[in-house]
Amino acid sequence: MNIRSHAEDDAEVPLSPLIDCVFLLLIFFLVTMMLKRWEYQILLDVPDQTASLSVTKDEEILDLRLDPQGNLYYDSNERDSKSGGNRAYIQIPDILTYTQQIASDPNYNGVKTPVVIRADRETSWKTYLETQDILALQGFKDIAMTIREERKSSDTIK
Amino acid sequence: MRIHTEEQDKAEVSMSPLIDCVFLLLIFFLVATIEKKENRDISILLPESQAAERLPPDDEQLIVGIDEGGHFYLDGRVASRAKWQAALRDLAQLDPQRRIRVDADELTSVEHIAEIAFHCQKLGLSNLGFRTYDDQYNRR
Repeated sequence: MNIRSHAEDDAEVPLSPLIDCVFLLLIFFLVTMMLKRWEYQILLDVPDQTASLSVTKDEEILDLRLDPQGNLYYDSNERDSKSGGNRAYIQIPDILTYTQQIASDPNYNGVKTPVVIRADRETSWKTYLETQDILALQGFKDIAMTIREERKSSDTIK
Repeated sequence: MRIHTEEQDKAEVSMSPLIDCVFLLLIFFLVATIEKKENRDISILLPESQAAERLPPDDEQLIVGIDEGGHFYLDGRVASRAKWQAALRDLAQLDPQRRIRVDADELTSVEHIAEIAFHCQKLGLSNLGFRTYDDQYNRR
Protein backbone atom coordinates (compact mmCIF):
# COMPACT_ATOMS: atom_id res chain seq x y z
CA MET A 1 0.00 0.00 0.00
CA ASN A 2 2.75 2.33 0.96
CA ILE A 3 4.76 1.58 -2.19
CA ARG A 4 1.73 2.03 -4.44
CA SER A 5 1.04 5.52 -3.20
CA HIS A 6 4.69 6.43 -3.90
CA ALA A 7 4.38 5.19 -7.46
CA GLU A 8 1.26 7.33 -7.97
CA ASP A 9 3.14 10.44 -6.79
CA ASP A 10 5.88 9.85 -9.38
CA ALA A 11 3.37 9.52 -12.20
CA GLU A 12 2.16 13.10 -11.77
CA VAL A 13 3.04 15.66 -14.47
CA PRO A 14 6.11 17.55 -13.22
CA LEU A 15 5.31 21.27 -13.05
CA SER A 16 8.69 22.83 -12.42
CA PRO A 17 10.27 22.10 -15.85
CA LEU A 18 7.11 23.46 -17.47
CA ILE A 19 7.36 26.67 -15.50
CA ASP A 20 11.04 26.92 -16.38
CA CYS A 21 10.21 26.52 -20.02
CA VAL A 22 7.54 29.21 -19.88
CA PHE A 23 9.98 31.53 -18.12
CA LEU A 24 12.56 30.96 -20.82
CA LEU A 25 10.06 31.81 -23.55
CA LEU A 26 8.85 34.85 -21.62
CA ILE A 27 12.35 36.27 -21.20
CA PHE A 28 13.23 35.48 -24.81
CA PHE A 29 10.21 37.29 -26.27
CA LEU A 30 10.54 40.14 -23.82
CA VAL A 31 14.11 40.84 -24.87
CA THR A 32 13.46 40.39 -28.59
CA MET A 33 10.50 42.77 -28.39
CA MET A 34 12.83 45.34 -26.91
CA LEU A 35 15.08 44.94 -29.92
CA LYS A 36 12.34 45.76 -32.38
CA ARG A 37 12.66 49.51 -32.28
CA TRP A 38 10.95 51.65 -34.83
CA GLU A 39 12.42 54.91 -35.83
CA TYR A 40 10.74 58.00 -37.20
CA GLN A 41 12.21 59.84 -40.11
CA ILE A 42 11.28 62.63 -42.42
CA LEU A 43 12.19 61.41 -45.86
CA LEU A 44 13.70 63.87 -48.24
CA ASP A 45 13.40 63.43 -51.95
CA VAL A 46 16.53 65.09 -53.24
CA PRO A 47 15.98 66.23 -56.82
CA ASP A 48 18.49 65.42 -59.53
CA GLN A 49 20.94 68.12 -60.20
CA THR A 50 20.53 69.06 -63.80
CA ALA A 51 22.08 71.87 -65.72
CA SER A 52 18.83 72.97 -67.28
CA LEU A 53 16.29 74.92 -65.34
CA SER A 54 12.69 73.88 -65.47
CA VAL A 55 10.48 76.82 -66.22
CA THR A 56 6.99 76.26 -64.95
CA LYS A 57 5.50 79.67 -65.21
CA ASP A 58 1.88 78.66 -65.34
CA GLU A 59 2.12 76.64 -62.15
CA GLU A 60 1.41 78.54 -58.98
CA ILE A 61 4.04 78.10 -56.32
CA LEU A 62 3.46 79.05 -52.72
CA ASP A 63 6.56 81.05 -51.89
CA LEU A 64 7.11 81.47 -48.17
CA ARG A 65 9.90 82.93 -46.16
CA LEU A 66 10.84 81.92 -42.66
CA ASP A 67 12.87 83.99 -40.23
CA PRO A 68 14.83 82.66 -37.21
CA GLN A 69 12.02 83.61 -34.83
CA GLY A 70 9.63 81.32 -36.67
CA ASN A 71 7.63 84.07 -38.36
CA LEU A 72 6.42 83.15 -41.81
CA TYR A 73 6.06 85.63 -44.65
CA TYR A 74 4.44 85.36 -48.03
CA ASP A 75 5.45 86.91 -51.30
CA SER A 76 3.26 89.89 -52.08
CA ASN A 77 4.36 89.89 -55.76
CA GLU A 78 5.20 93.55 -55.42
CA ARG A 79 8.48 95.34 -55.44
CA ASP A 80 9.46 97.28 -52.42
CA SER A 81 10.73 100.69 -53.45
CA LYS A 82 12.47 101.30 -50.13
CA SER A 83 14.84 98.37 -50.23
CA GLY A 84 16.00 98.88 -53.79
CA GLY A 85 13.42 96.83 -55.64
CA ASN A 86 13.52 93.66 -53.57
CA ARG A 87 10.40 91.58 -53.28
CA ALA A 88 8.13 92.69 -50.49
CA TYR A 89 7.21 89.92 -48.08
CA ILE A 90 4.25 90.24 -45.75
CA GLN A 91 4.07 88.46 -42.41
CA ILE A 92 1.46 85.74 -41.93
CA PRO A 93 -0.16 86.07 -38.50
CA ASP A 94 -1.55 82.55 -38.30
CA ILE A 95 0.05 79.84 -40.42
CA LEU A 96 -2.79 77.35 -40.01
CA THR A 97 -5.58 79.62 -41.26
CA TYR A 98 -3.36 80.89 -44.05
CA THR A 99 -2.57 77.41 -45.37
CA GLN A 100 -6.22 76.37 -45.12
CA GLN A 101 -7.11 79.44 -47.14
CA ILE A 102 -4.49 78.56 -49.76
CA ALA A 103 -5.69 74.96 -49.97
CA SER A 104 -9.20 76.15 -50.85
CA ASP A 105 -8.09 79.05 -53.04
CA PRO A 106 -9.12 78.43 -56.70
CA ASN A 107 -5.99 80.22 -57.94
CA TYR A 108 -3.86 77.50 -56.39
CA ASN A 109 -3.90 73.80 -57.13
CA GLY A 110 -5.21 72.76 -53.70
CA VAL A 111 -2.76 70.80 -51.58
CA LYS A 112 -0.87 69.80 -54.73
CA THR A 113 0.58 73.30 -54.89
CA PRO A 114 4.36 73.15 -54.59
CA VAL A 115 5.54 75.01 -51.52
CA VAL A 116 8.93 76.63 -51.17
CA ILE A 117 10.07 77.56 -47.69
CA ARG A 118 12.96 79.97 -47.84
CA ALA A 119 14.50 79.76 -44.43
CA ASP A 120 17.05 82.09 -43.01
CA ARG A 121 20.25 80.14 -42.47
CA GLU A 122 20.18 80.91 -38.76
CA THR A 123 16.76 79.32 -38.32
CA SER A 124 16.82 76.36 -35.96
CA TRP A 125 15.92 72.93 -37.25
CA LYS A 126 13.06 72.76 -34.76
CA THR A 127 11.50 76.00 -35.99
CA TYR A 128 11.79 74.88 -39.57
CA LEU A 129 10.27 71.47 -38.86
CA GLU A 130 7.35 72.98 -36.95
CA THR A 131 6.46 75.04 -39.99
CA GLN A 132 6.93 72.11 -42.33
CA ASP A 133 4.80 69.95 -40.06
CA ILE A 134 1.86 72.34 -40.24
CA LEU A 135 2.05 72.28 -44.01
CA ALA A 136 2.54 68.51 -44.21
CA LEU A 137 -0.41 67.86 -41.91
CA GLN A 138 -2.57 70.07 -44.12
CA GLY A 139 -1.76 67.63 -46.90
CA PHE A 140 0.87 69.57 -48.83
CA LYS A 141 3.12 66.97 -50.43
CA ASP A 142 5.58 69.00 -52.39
CA ILE A 143 7.49 71.07 -49.86
CA ALA A 144 10.87 72.42 -50.88
CA MET A 145 13.46 73.73 -48.50
CA THR A 146 15.67 76.57 -49.53
CA ILE A 147 18.37 78.31 -47.61
CA ARG A 148 18.62 81.99 -48.12
CA GLU A 149 22.04 83.42 -48.60
CA GLU A 150 22.65 87.08 -48.09
CA ARG A 151 21.66 88.95 -51.23
CA LYS A 152 22.59 86.09 -53.48
CA SER A 153 20.87 83.36 -55.34
CA SER A 154 20.11 80.48 -53.03
CA ASP A 155 20.78 76.76 -53.02
CA THR A 156 17.51 75.09 -53.80
CA ILE A 157 17.00 71.88 -51.96
CA LYS A 158 13.81 69.95 -52.08
CA MET B 1 14.87 -1.78 2.22
CA ARG B 2 13.12 -0.83 -0.96
CA ILE B 3 11.66 2.36 0.44
CA HIS B 4 15.11 3.31 1.68
CA THR B 5 16.64 3.25 -1.82
CA GLU B 6 13.84 5.40 -3.21
CA GLU B 7 14.52 8.05 -0.62
CA GLN B 8 18.18 8.01 -1.56
CA ASP B 9 17.23 8.64 -5.22
CA LYS B 10 15.20 11.70 -4.29
CA ALA B 11 18.07 13.20 -2.29
CA GLU B 12 20.22 13.51 -5.46
CA VAL B 13 20.76 16.97 -7.00
CA SER B 14 18.27 17.16 -9.84
CA MET B 15 19.93 18.14 -13.12
CA SER B 16 17.03 19.32 -15.28
CA PRO B 17 16.17 22.58 -13.42
CA LEU B 18 19.86 23.43 -13.39
CA ILE B 19 20.12 22.92 -17.13
CA ASP B 20 16.99 25.03 -17.60
CA CYS B 21 18.47 27.78 -15.54
CA VAL B 22 21.73 27.74 -17.50
CA PHE B 23 19.73 27.85 -20.74
CA LEU B 24 17.82 30.87 -19.52
CA LEU B 25 21.00 32.74 -18.66
CA LEU B 26 22.58 31.73 -21.96
CA ILE B 27 19.68 33.05 -24.02
CA PHE B 28 19.47 36.21 -21.94
CA PHE B 29 23.13 37.15 -22.36
CA LEU B 30 23.09 36.12 -26.00
CA VAL B 31 20.26 38.51 -26.81
CA ALA B 32 21.61 41.22 -24.52
CA THR B 33 24.97 41.24 -26.29
CA ILE B 34 23.28 41.45 -29.68
CA GLU B 35 21.62 44.67 -28.58
CA LYS B 36 24.86 46.07 -27.26
CA LYS B 37 26.48 45.81 -30.67
CA GLU B 38 25.15 48.95 -32.34
CA ASN B 39 24.71 52.29 -30.75
CA ARG B 40 25.46 55.10 -33.11
CA ASP B 41 23.16 57.62 -31.47
CA ILE B 42 24.71 60.79 -30.20
CA SER B 43 23.59 62.83 -27.22
CA ILE B 44 21.35 65.37 -28.86
CA LEU B 45 17.70 66.29 -28.58
CA LEU B 46 15.89 65.49 -31.78
CA PRO B 47 13.08 67.72 -33.05
CA GLU B 48 9.52 66.49 -32.76
CA SER B 49 7.40 65.97 -35.82
CA GLN B 50 3.90 64.72 -36.39
CA ALA B 51 4.40 64.19 -40.08
CA ALA B 52 7.38 61.83 -39.84
CA GLU B 53 7.16 58.33 -41.25
CA ARG B 54 7.63 55.21 -39.16
CA LEU B 55 10.38 53.05 -40.53
CA PRO B 56 11.84 49.75 -39.41
CA PRO B 57 15.32 50.16 -37.97
CA ASP B 58 18.06 49.79 -40.51
CA ASP B 59 21.52 48.91 -39.22
CA GLU B 60 23.06 49.36 -42.64
CA GLN B 61 22.34 53.04 -43.01
CA LEU B 62 25.00 55.71 -42.80
CA ILE B 63 24.39 58.16 -39.99
CA VAL B 64 25.52 61.74 -40.13
CA GLY B 65 24.90 63.63 -36.90
CA ILE B 66 24.98 67.31 -36.11
CA ASP B 67 24.89 68.72 -32.60
CA GLU B 68 23.69 72.07 -31.32
CA GLY B 69 27.02 73.76 -31.97
CA GLY B 70 27.21 72.54 -35.56
CA HIS B 71 29.78 69.80 -34.95
CA PHE B 72 29.46 66.82 -37.23
CA TYR B 73 29.37 63.16 -36.31
CA LEU B 74 29.72 60.12 -38.50
CA ASP B 75 28.19 56.87 -37.23
CA GLY B 76 28.22 58.22 -33.69
CA ARG B 77 31.78 59.50 -33.64
CA VAL B 78 33.00 63.06 -34.00
CA ALA B 79 33.99 63.69 -37.58
CA SER B 80 35.29 66.58 -39.58
CA ARG B 81 33.42 67.97 -42.52
CA ALA B 82 35.88 66.32 -44.89
CA LYS B 83 35.31 62.95 -43.25
CA TRP B 84 31.54 62.73 -43.73
CA GLN B 85 31.87 64.19 -47.20
CA ALA B 86 34.34 61.44 -48.04
CA ALA B 87 31.99 58.86 -46.54
CA LEU B 88 29.13 60.13 -48.69
CA ARG B 89 31.34 60.09 -51.76
CA ASP B 90 32.31 56.46 -51.08
CA LEU B 91 28.67 55.59 -50.54
CA ALA B 92 27.69 57.20 -53.83
CA GLN B 93 30.27 55.13 -55.68
CA LEU B 94 30.09 51.81 -53.90
CA ASP B 95 26.55 51.47 -52.64
CA PRO B 96 24.19 54.23 -53.79
CA GLN B 97 21.13 52.33 -52.54
CA ARG B 98 22.26 52.51 -48.93
CA ARG B 99 20.15 54.84 -46.85
CA ILE B 100 21.51 57.95 -45.20
CA ARG B 101 20.08 59.23 -41.93
CA VAL B 102 20.72 62.66 -40.54
CA ASP B 103 20.37 63.10 -36.78
CA ALA B 104 20.27 66.80 -36.04
CA ASP B 105 19.71 68.57 -32.75
CA GLU B 106 16.58 70.68 -32.68
CA LEU B 107 18.68 73.81 -32.17
CA THR B 108 20.98 73.21 -35.12
CA SER B 109 20.61 75.91 -37.73
CA VAL B 110 19.12 74.74 -41.02
CA GLU B 111 22.29 75.85 -42.74
CA HIS B 112 24.08 72.68 -41.60
CA ILE B 113 21.18 70.45 -42.58
CA ALA B 114 21.04 72.06 -45.99
CA GLU B 115 24.77 71.55 -46.32
CA ILE B 116 24.37 67.79 -45.99
CA ALA B 117 21.33 67.71 -48.25
CA PHE B 118 23.11 69.84 -50.82
CA HIS B 119 26.10 67.54 -50.75
CA CYS B 120 23.83 64.53 -51.32
CA GLN B 121 22.24 66.34 -54.22
CA LYS B 122 25.63 66.98 -55.79
CA LEU B 123 26.50 63.29 -55.50
CA GLY B 124 23.13 62.24 -56.90
CA LEU B 125 21.99 60.53 -53.71
CA SER B 126 18.29 60.73 -53.04
CA ASN B 127 17.81 58.24 -50.22
CA LEU B 128 18.03 60.69 -47.39
CA GLY B 129 16.00 60.85 -44.17
CA PHE B 130 15.96 63.01 -41.08
CA ARG B 131 15.48 61.31 -37.76
CA THR B 132 12.84 62.87 -35.53
CA TYR B 133 12.14 62.43 -31.87
CA ASP B 134 10.94 59.21 -30.32
CA ASP B 135 11.60 57.99 -26.79
CA GLN B 136 13.84 55.17 -28.04
CA TYR B 137 16.51 57.52 -29.28
CA ASN B 138 19.78 57.40 -27.41
CA ARG B 139 18.44 55.02 -24.77
CA ARG B 140 21.32 52.91 -23.62
